[in-house]
Amino acid sequence: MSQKAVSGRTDELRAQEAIKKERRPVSRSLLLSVLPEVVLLAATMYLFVVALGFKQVGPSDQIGPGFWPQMLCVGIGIGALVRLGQKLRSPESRVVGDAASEAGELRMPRVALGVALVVGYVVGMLFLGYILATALFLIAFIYLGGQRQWYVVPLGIASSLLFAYVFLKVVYIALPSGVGIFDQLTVLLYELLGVY
Amino acid sequence: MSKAWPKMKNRRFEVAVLISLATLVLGVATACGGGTRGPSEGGGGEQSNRPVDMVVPFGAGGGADQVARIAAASMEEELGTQVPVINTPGATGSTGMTSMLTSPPGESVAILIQDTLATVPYGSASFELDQIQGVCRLQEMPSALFVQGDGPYENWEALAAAARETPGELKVATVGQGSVDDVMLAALAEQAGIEFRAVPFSDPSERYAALLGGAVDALYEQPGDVLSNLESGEFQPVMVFADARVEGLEGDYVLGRDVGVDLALNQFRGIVTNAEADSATVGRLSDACAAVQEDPDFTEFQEQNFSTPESYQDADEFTEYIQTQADTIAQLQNEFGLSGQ
Amino acid sequence: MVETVYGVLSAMASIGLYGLVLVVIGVLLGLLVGVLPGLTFVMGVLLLVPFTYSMDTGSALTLMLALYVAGTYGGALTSILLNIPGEPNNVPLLWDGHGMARQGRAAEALGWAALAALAGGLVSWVMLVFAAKPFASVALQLSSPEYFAVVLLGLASVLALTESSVVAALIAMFVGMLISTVGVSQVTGVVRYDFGTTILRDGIDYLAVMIGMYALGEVITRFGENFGGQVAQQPARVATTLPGLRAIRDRGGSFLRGILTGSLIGTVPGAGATVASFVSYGLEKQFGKHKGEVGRESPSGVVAPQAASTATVGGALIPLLVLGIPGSAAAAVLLGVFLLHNVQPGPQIFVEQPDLVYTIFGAFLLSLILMFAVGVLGARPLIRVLNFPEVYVSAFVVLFAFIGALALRQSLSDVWITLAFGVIGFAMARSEYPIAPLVLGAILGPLAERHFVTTMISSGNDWTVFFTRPISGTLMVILVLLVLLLGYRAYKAREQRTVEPGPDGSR
Repeated sequence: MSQKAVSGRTDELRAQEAIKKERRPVSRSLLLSVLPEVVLLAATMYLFVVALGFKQVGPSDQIGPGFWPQMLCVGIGIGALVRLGQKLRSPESRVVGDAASEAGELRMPRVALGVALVVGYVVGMLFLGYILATALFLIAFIYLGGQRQWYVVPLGIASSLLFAYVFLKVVYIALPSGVGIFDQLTVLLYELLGVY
Repeated sequence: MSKAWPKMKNRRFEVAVLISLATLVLGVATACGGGTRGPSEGGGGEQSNRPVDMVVPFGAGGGADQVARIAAASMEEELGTQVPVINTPGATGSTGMTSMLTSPPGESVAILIQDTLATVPYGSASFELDQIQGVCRLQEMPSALFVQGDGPYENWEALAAAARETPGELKVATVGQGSVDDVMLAALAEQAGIEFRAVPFSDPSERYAALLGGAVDALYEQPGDVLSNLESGEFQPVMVFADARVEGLEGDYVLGRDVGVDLALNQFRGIVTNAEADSATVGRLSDACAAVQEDPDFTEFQEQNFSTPESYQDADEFTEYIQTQADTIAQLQNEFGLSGQ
Repeated sequence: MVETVYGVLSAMASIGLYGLVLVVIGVLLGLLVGVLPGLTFVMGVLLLVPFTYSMDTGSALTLMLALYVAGTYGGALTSILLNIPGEPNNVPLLWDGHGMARQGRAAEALGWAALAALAGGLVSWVMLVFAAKPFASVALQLSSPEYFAVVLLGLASVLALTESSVVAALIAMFVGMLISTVGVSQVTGVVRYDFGTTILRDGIDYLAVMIGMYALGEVITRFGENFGGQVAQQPARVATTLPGLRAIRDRGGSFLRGILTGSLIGTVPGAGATVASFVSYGLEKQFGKHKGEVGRESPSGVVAPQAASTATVGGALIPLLVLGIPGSAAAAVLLGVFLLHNVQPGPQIFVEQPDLVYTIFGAFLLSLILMFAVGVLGARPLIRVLNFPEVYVSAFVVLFAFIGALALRQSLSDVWITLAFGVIGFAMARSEYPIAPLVLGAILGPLAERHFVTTMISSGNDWTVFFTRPISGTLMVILVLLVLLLGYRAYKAREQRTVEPGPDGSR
């Protein structure tokens, strides 16, 4: 799937590559490549119908709340149809952008790990409270990101306390305090920090 | 690839991750087992040193924001804890109410104004009326119709005559469809036979610019919100929805009942909290709120807003007021075909 | 005129140590809130309000104005260096500014941004001081049809951004606009597309979309790539940060277009820095001398939106001082402070309290100069951020992104929404659908709908008003020309490109 490094290549080489791409069997990607448009079409049709149900307020000759979303749905629908037509007509436009970035190789397990870390962070905030979740997240993220130094742990804890202090005390943002015993812990930490 | 991943370290790290995951699971388990709320609930009437959030369900600089900031400053002294003001705009104030309700009961209060209350009968609110209870009402003020100071209409008679000539053509800037503004304009059409076209401008500055620039013929607003335009003579009131002339408000204006409108939905701003908060906490909040009345800053603010002398209501009065007010609005919205449901 | 100059000069001379300290604090705070995504300068100005209770009116306004001015610029730093828009008006800076940084030209991009902010601020200052009244009267002639036309111009810049398929970009933009309709409608108060959930009923804030798609999406990508392969930065080798005179003359048109757009749009209530920034970027891409390179790594793509953003400050103060109507959300907070101190802005303020007006003018000018100095001097140490291992930076990007989301409405729902858009952004970066139009649609969509519906209600469903009113008619003609020009260019580009499938333009 991934196609590496674009830079430094002459146009000629690129053109050759494009031809190569065209020769690839098309059947593999046809269904896959029109999938976004099909999904978009179905979704906008559904949303259009939902918008019909929005209650008209004010005089009946005035534009209701459904008008604008319906126009947008029509716009998306027409766009999706045009793209669908383009893709079915010429195989060339079917080439899905394969994100030829100059950066490193994208590994799906790593992506999943990254998403899991971020999701875990939000869930952690909900239950453990901001301070604890932030410290854990920072340590885990940096460690798993390849920086395996001992000072990652104190760094994570110190940054989390600093963030909590600044945002609670100066900016007045209500940070989640967690539930149960963690709520008590958070309050204790706040008291130690002098926030309360 | 910048760095190799040494095998041994990797294993050690997996252990670390497992441990932290285990902590998380444990945390969730403890949380579920140990009840959902913090110590504040167990404490009951005990004094808590936790801050009490003052949620303003609107953006910066508006009237609700100003009243919250003045009230919070003097309540902080009374309560002995911090009262941080938090702006949570969105959905005509409904978002802020939900935000207040998600905090532990008694640790968060919110400013409730007429427009937000009107979203409940209208059907667009994300909270129910029985989820909230009043702490105190701080302000009540009449609304009015304004025209340009040196514009085509010099008083109510001129405006009404023009409106009668072309029913539904003269434009009045309002805050939004189905709002109290709309209800009052509908009442004007129904009871006095004078029909305007309500044009919604949800942003206040756009609303005022519309009148200044002549995009609309009149503006529905509370006098305090357009004080500077009144003082400079750019705006003048032509009709006030009140029983008597408003003290301090100059000008050649008529009252609602003079033209046959026996209805006044006054704007109000008050403090509400979660209905689940215990009575001791509410009592303490209500006492602190009562003390706001003594604050000289607040007195001055009341004058600027043309608040009525009956502005203050305590917790019970305000809770009752909210209920009757909501019923009235619901009835009127139905009557004038303005309901959103 | 002479009197005004004398008044401003004496106000600046008598500012004293206390006033100077206030300006410094304000500028630093402004840069700070500008840097933090989600914490907008409007919120920054607002957070200062309680601290100004005990100050005199002049000092209070000095402090807040300094924050406001610097706040329009602070986000440029993070946009260019880290690809995080600190403020919505900084989004255009991601495209060219961060592109330059990736090429190792971070210092240069920062220099251009600082200079553009200074120039934009200075010119709008001159307009404020010497031509406030004529500008204010022009602004009053504008109403919903004109606002709508301006927003459309901003949206049209999306078409300018696309490098692959215009249709795909349009679809993405419409999707963004559709996302912004979720929740309670501002005009009708009706709930739309909530599917019975409270999270959706409260609406999807465009800031959550923006932070998620840009900041989080990028972090997920980089984590997936194990932070490998990034082009190395060599800040030590960068000799200068400020562009030379000849280079400035070469970009003169970009400065001019940006400043004019910003000052004019700033005067209009309800538009502000974000719209100005997008509109000027679109103009640059369409009509600029260097339009060919805009969208990749062009200084013009940094200069125009930044100049426009800062120029809106002066613009927004014009209706505030002359009419008592704030030209932007931040100016609305300033109005609150005026009222708190019993000062009524309006035409009479120039007569009754000229000293206060001069203080405001002076503070504005000082803040600009200081912001520029900090921007230039601070650029070099700031670039060092890029020397840290990227994983540290990414970890803190997540922290800032979530703090920003929390700050929106103090609710974890916004954090979840941000997270969802982070994943969507990651996926979209790998599809043929570009991200930028979606974010733009989400930001400008609500404005477009509001002004459109208000116009239609006000005119009794007569859509011709958009074309028959002189100013909106002119804007609409420009818009039509722009779209035609664009279609023509896309057509020509396609002819040239038939051999080679163009690189995916999403970034």
